[in-house]
Amino acid sequence: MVKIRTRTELTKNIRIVGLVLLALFAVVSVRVFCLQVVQSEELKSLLRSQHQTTITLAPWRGTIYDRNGSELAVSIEVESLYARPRLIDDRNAVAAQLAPVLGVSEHEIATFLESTKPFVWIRRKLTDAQADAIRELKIDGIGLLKESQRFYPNMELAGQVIGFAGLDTQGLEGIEREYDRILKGTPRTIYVDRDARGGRVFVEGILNPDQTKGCDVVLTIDKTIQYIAEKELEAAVAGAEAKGGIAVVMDPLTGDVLAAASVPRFNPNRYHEASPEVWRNRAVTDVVEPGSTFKSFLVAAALEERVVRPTDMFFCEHGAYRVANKVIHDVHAYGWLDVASIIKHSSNIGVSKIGQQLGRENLYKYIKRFGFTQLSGIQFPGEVPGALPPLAACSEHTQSTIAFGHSITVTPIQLAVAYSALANGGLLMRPTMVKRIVDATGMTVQEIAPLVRCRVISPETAEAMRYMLQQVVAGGTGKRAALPGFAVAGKTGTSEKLDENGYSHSKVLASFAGFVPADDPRITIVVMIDEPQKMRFGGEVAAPAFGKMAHAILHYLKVPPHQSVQGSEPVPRRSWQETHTRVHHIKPLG
Amino acid sequence: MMFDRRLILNFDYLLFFFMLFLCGIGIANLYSIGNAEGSSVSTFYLRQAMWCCAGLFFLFITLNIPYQFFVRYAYYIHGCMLLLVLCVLIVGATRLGAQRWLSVGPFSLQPSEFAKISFILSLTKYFSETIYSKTLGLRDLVFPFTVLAITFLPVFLQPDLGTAGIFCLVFFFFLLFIKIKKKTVFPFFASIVSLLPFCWTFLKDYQKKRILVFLDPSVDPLQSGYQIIQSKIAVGSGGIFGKGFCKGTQSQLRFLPEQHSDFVFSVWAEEWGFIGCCVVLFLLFLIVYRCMSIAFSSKNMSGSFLAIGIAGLFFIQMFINICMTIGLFPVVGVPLPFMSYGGSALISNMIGVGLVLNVGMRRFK
Repeated sequence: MVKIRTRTELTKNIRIVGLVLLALFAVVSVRVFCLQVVQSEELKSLLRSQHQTTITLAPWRGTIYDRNGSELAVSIEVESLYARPRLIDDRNAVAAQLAPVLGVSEHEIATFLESTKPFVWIRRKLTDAQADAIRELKIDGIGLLKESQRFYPNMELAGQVIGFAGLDTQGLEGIEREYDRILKGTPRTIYVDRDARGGRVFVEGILNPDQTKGCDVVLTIDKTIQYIAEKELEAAVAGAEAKGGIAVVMDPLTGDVLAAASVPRFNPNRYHEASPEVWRNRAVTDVVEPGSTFKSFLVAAALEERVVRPTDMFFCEHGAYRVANKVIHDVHAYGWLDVASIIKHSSNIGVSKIGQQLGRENLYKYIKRFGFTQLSGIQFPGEVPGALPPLAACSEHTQSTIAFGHSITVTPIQLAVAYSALANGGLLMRPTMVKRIVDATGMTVQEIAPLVRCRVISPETAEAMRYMLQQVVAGGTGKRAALPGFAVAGKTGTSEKLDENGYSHSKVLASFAGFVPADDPRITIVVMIDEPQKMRFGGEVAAPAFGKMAHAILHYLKVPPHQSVQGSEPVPRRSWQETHTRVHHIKPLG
Repeated sequence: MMFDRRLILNFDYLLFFFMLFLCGIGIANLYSIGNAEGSSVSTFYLRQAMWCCAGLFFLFITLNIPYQFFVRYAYYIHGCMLLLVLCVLIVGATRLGAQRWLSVGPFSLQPSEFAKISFILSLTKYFSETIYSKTLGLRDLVFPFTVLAITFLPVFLQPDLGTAGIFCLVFFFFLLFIKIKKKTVFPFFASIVSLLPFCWTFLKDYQKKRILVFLDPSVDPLQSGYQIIQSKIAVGSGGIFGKGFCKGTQSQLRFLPEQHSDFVFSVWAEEWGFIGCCVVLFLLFLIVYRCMSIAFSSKNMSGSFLAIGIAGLFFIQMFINICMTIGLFPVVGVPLPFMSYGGSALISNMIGVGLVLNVGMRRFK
């Protein structure tokens, strides 16, 4: 009986305990349910925060186009070689296979493979041949990852304008730098899973490049015009055995920079091989003393202020004129010249006297109005405003030298803008190198419309200036800029450069600035040849380059030659022009 | 020897196949764990499969010997096991700061795992023999307590708090099925409770910390709390359907500690989700249920006690292990039966199943 009693108690206990165990299983199941179903999202986000790290890859930069849609700077896919050292068994064998392809020592590769990290770059941005060769090897633990790299398909062309982007495709110079934020777009982040030791393990790869591509920038530069400008400038620099040269081609009506050339050139694909000196877009970043090309503005100001008329006569002192104990010389000695002839023959003495007529305040006022000593508003890194002595410190002599373009510094782009103002009837345009910004989907984000900064001179004055500047080319210092079939208006300049001993006679800047066709200007061109050795004067060195550039560009732009120009003198239509001649008697000062 | 047909008829195929199925899941899970790049346990699934075969071999040997034989010589068997455990203390290999292993040729043996079975055999022998006569008083509990104490101490000193605790819990599990005098129950539990603070001082610092961290994991989220937090993240992020085989990021990226031993359930939960957890929990429950029902149907007291003890052993281990991975219990080194990597534990558990099947086959004897 005892046996049976205990037996039934035991089975009863088994039942009870069994139910308790079932209940405990239920508790566990409920807890698992809570974690996996109810709290799942919360725990998943915890998981993401500890597993997923984002690493930022260089963004896919937008393309830079010229005004006609030719690619100037593009992003191409290149492959980079990485290794996952933990997956590699025989590191020396892998290093031996890779070394000949990459052209480095086995030891160098082996040190990468010895890394304890789960992921290491062995070589960034391989050539296609290298990438193919590595693919052929089919090594475990070695892989290729596509990255973007900047490529400049036109090599040197417009190098200083475009600038370049660095290894991590960040804009370092030029448009690439100025528009870096727009071009680069949002940086590409990729999600990578991080293991508990903090190493990175690729899971997702690179996201679709289109999603984060930067905006495209369309320049006002015309690839062909840029090519013409660079070719002719290079030829002129070589011909004159000069140190360098600058050329700007501008649409005078809009302020669009059609070409901005600097010589010597460099290839932005291999920018590190060139000296940083030549990276500069000198049309914007360099200031020069403009020399005689500046005289046009003085005369324009004097005409606008009506202190002189084109036919007014000035005595040019036969080549030597004393102002404040210093003597101003002309290259050729002249006696009496009218205003137009002063420009035509580029008489320093003549413009000094006109400058005295104009007065210091007016001179400064017009210098500012023409945009000198101020930033032009062109969106380009490193633009400088140029300098002028303060009005209060401006002596009689300084005033005279400013009149013929010394003691003042300007940038080539300022000069082009100011000549464009003479060309377009007196409007100072804001120069621009960028026409529009287009986003990755092709929508125009921003259109840079021409902007008139101010009216500098009246259309009549501009007309008179155009007439006078035509005389320079027709029979004055700028004869060699003449073109068959087109009336050229322009001005030569030869400025002595400053060195440690003051103005140097041997180091000069020979320049020519002008526009063509004179009666219906399509292009303004500024050409500067830095330190020509063979010849010296702007009329000898820069004017022919101007002529060749203008000829080729007008042909390219399909501008028809003007029939009436040949042989017939253009007659200025000035309502205020008087028939009689005024004579200005100005005594030497001091 | 005449072969009794009833032995085959009463063979509990369900229990056997549930166990095999769970072992298979365990091996697949170990494969996934070893699949992680650069894993140091990449071949453990193969070894576990090998242990599984060895376990089956021992299981069938166990089946061929009537369980009464084991019960009869239980004290001797347990005595041998305790000697091995003591050997471990003296000459054993130290791993992870604890001496638990004994090198036998190319293998390392963990005698404390086998001591679990022999401990159950000893208690079975004592309780099944004494319970006929009376309701147990305090004096009758002295002997089993002594057995517990001499089993507990060497394991506790290894130190292996998890296994030592299992001995205690298995002991209490037995007590649920025997009749104790009412006046004995109170002083008995009072003495246990009064011993607890004393035990606390014996605990190592890291063990104390684990218990404190369990009460509040944010005390030390980088060290002791790390394991609980990572395990909860792993289980929770599995969601309903899981991340898929070999796709668990917690495990593949080594955030989970001890994934191949103590935290196998977390890996499984992450990769197979709530559905997979339900499958495993159900299998575990069925194994315990089959053991209990064999205990229920056995006509022999010693058979019943043996099956109860082994059911208790399985339940206690799986309950503590899973509770630990889901943050319901402090982190102690208790493996999940049939799924955690470990040859000694797997073989020992399979011998346990063999004994229960043995009881089932010979239920009418």
